[in-house]
Amino acid sequence: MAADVLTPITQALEEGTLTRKELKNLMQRSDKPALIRLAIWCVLLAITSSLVWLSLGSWWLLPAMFIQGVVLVHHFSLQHECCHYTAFKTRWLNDLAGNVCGLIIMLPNRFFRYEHCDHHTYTQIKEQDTEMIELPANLAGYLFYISSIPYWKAKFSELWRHSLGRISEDDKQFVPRQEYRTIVFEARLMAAFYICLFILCIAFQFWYPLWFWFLPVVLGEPVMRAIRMTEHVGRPMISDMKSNTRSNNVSFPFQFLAWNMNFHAEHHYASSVPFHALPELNKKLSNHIYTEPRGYLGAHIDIVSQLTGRKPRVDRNVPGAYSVRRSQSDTE
Amino acid sequence: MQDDIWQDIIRIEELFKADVTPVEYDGIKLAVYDTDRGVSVSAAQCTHAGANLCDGYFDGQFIECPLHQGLFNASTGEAKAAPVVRALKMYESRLFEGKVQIKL
Repeated sequence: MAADVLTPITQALEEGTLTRKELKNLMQRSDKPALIRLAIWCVLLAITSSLVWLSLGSWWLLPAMFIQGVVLVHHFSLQHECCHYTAFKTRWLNDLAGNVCGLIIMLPNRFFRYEHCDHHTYTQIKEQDTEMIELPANLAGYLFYISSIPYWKAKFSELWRHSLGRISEDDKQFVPRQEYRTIVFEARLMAAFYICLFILCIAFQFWYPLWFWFLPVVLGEPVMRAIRMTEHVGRPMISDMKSNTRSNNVSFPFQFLAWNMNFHAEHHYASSVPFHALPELNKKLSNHIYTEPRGYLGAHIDIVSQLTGRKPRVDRNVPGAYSVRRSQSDTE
Repeated sequence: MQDDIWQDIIRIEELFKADVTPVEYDGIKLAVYDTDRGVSVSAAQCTHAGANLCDGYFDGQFIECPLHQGLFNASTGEAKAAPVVRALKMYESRLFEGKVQIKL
């Protein structure tokens, strides 16, 4: 039996931050908001793809691919929502969209789901949180992370390892034994798809996937790395959800691209609340969570201030920071 | 004699309609579901990471864990979707004289 845990939402209910009725209302699912957003999303992709098309053969190709890339890497936001089954009411639509998004950004959906579940269990706990981005040691480390080099290295290693049928000791911390075969299968399927596409591109000298997909994703990924940093980096390394996660007030375009995931602390409080209800949840929790009013830029000012000594680093002298211990039952 | 092992846990009118109601009986945390097929009772704790299922999303048939969105059949306890792999502990239950009872 798993240990009894006090989840953020149970804590919120016990503290009276939310009533049970309010929570249940916010949890209500619907396919409509996601389908509408997805339709606009497709129009947006058509526009950015047109920009790439019109700039082929000119120096404008680079900025056009970057813009295309910024949209493409935000498929992570939809995949993330799908992995919580909160994008669509219809559960299989979440699986379908999550897998398509995963293919676009090379993030196997099933594995991501397990990894992300673990992140929600051990948020911001060093050596426990599998998705934790540590506060870099210095500015060079900060820029290196944003370059996405370490990210791609980790993702290619992961795909390679799983394709070879290997589940690492770290993976075993959060992937149930019964799911090893699924993880290997989806990695092989994804790798086979990329390899076949690559061979076809060479065989037919067909390079559109390069200009419209792969290079834009590589160019756009630093934006996603920078956004992902704003969620927890520089926040206290403790299990208290009131302070270990950062929400960001951002402009409408970024909120649209992020599927409202800029309300990140709200999401961690109640991950069963769908993206379309997060702005409403934000109103309920605004006095109980940490919100960066200056948005992504403000979050990075906070992070850089810690790296340059203008503010104390959060990873120094943190009493009780490692109080959460992994339960053996997680993967039994 | 048979009735001696049935225990009252909550009055029917106190149940959240078409939802899951948290009940504590003799130190045991229970989830009481008003499902499409009638009332059922399980242990409130998710078998994956221990979250309280009463705070999860319930659609009348399946209960979703509030922490990781794993899915259980609220009538049978069957684990239906990752990351949960172990079934919920279910309690035999019945409605009797306006109350929900479980067999202990």
